[in-house]
Amino acid sequence: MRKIFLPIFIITFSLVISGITLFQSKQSIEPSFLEYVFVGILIIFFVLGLYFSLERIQNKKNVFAEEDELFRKISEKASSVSYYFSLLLWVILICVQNNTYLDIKWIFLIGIIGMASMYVFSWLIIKSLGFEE
Amino acid sequence: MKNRIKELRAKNSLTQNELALKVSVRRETIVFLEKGKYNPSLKLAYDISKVFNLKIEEVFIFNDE
Repeated sequence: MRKIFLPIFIITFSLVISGITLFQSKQSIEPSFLEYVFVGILIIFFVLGLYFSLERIQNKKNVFAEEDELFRKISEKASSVSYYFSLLLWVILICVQNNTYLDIKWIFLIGIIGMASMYVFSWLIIKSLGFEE
Repeated sequence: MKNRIKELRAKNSLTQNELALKVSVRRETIVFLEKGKYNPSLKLAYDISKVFNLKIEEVFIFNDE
């Protein structure tokens, strides 16, 4: 059961904390377009997390394995693929930071959300293409 | 690697759900196997073959390439 509710908890927690951080400090100023984009991405993650958790609950209810070898292999492959792309992303962000006046807060935010997005996209792409190794 | 899971499942009147339950995987894994989108581990291949009372090489067709 821990494996079912942990993703929901982490995503909800991240969503709430991000929402508070983004909007609390600028109560009088209208949130920027980038802030809306980040909140949108977090909401997409929340919906995906909810979907996969419900899928696990459904599997448990139907006495199927919650996790099996295919699920684990897809997760491992997605982790390794997203790791390499994340390294590339951070190198690009460091170069961008050196050449622009972008605030360090935004660099970290783009980096962290970019890493999470890469994992989700790698997972979805590997899942749709299959795993023939 | 090709396999005869779909054909053998139909022959044995098994649904994807029933086969998944027998070999302790999710139904999605059976779907992936039947579509040839996933090559199973030796253990899963053995378990599936056992369900059909056949040898692994009778269920899974290996390519030499």
